[in-house]
Amino acid sequence: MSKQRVIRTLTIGGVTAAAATLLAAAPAAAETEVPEPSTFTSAFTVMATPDQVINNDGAVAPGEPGATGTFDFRINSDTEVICYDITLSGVTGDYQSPAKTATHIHQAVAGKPGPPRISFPNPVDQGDGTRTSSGCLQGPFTTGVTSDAGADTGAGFTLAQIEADPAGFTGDSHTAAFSAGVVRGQLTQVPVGGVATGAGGTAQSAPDAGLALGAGALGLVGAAGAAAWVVSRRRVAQES
Amino acid sequence: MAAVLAGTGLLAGCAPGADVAAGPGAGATTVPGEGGSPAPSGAPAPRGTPSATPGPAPGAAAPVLAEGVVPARVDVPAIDLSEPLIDLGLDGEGAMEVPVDADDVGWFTGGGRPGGRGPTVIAGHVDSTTGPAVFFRLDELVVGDEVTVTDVEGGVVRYTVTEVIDVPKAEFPTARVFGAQPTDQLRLVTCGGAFDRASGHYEENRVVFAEPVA
Repeated sequence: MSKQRVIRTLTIGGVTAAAATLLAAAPAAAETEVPEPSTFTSAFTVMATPDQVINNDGAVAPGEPGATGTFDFRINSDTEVICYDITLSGVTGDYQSPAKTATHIHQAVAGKPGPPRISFPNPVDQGDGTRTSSGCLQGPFTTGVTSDAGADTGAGFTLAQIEADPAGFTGDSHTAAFSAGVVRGQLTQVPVGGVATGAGGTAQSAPDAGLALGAGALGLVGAAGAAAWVVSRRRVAQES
Repeated sequence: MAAVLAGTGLLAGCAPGADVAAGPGAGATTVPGEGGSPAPSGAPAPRGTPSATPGPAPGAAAPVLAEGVVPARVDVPAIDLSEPLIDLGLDGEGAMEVPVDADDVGWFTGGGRPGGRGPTVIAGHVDSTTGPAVFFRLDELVVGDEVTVTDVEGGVVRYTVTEVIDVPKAEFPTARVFGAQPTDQLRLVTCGGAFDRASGHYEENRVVFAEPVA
């Protein structure tokens, strides 16, 4: 439904010019949709709200009243894969953006504008007031937006940059009525994978303590369900 | 229970390290983002797998709460648990740091706080290498049980257990447990399932979901 609306918008706006712009910005190598990887190196979440939206001039430009968004990302920076689970609530109207989609990660700290680095498929109406979008993309990423230097704003970007400075990135989505952003929020890092909250002392076949510790110290993980992130978790324990 | 473990502090499954991994610095931002563009373009190829969407999303957007207050203590009367909370962050591999001491219960400082938006995530060990640990009885909790969290300002938030799940660590529902929410949420996490001797880890996590008492 929203796709049809978008097409109509394009037509009204002048299909020839808009299409030419899209083609000109079309990258040679864009991200691809991939299956979910078995391991991740980091995870991030975003509480997106209308009051955090900033326009290109760096001024507050509130998004749609009452709208919210949650953006959950899991990243494997070794393979340049990002998985996304995005839910928008209370967002109405058609998407609109000069990028190839209207749902993005921008490189921008709180309160500042910045270029899009990743362009995600727009959340789709679920018929209950929410819109959702889920999947995994593998870089290199392109946005369809060209920088002053003439390159796609996704060019040269890597997911390791998000891991290095999550607060330097923001998730948002744009609609025709709220072109600066309908909701927006900064990325915050959350734990990835399971939580290691047991050492087996009460397990039915309790292991020899020395054996368990030795195995842990070597980082040997043989459990079928154990993810690779566990493997190198062998540092000496310390409190925060 | 606590005395059994005094001084061990040796939890094979618990090896927190340094904080967030380093990486290349973020590049300069010379290009404006969005807004005010005269060239509306398409939003092609809507796709998605709604079934994979995390968490309940109410049709009408819920009001977004402000940030809560740092929690100081958790009480779970049903299992006679009353413990102060220590701070827990991320380990060097991006996973959740866990208490060094099997007697300690901690909360993830990068998440939500009681009385505010987002999930407050509290974790404790089910056992040490030698015996039961502070969250050994977490598996006795059932839907409807009460959990209270006291914050550093003395405020008390009462939660009711709404769901209890056991999940393989390899399929840990990161977004459901840690993902942003506009409302106040609580999670209690410990280990469960089979214990793998070779790795020194349990294969599953038990996660208790709770929401504020209406």
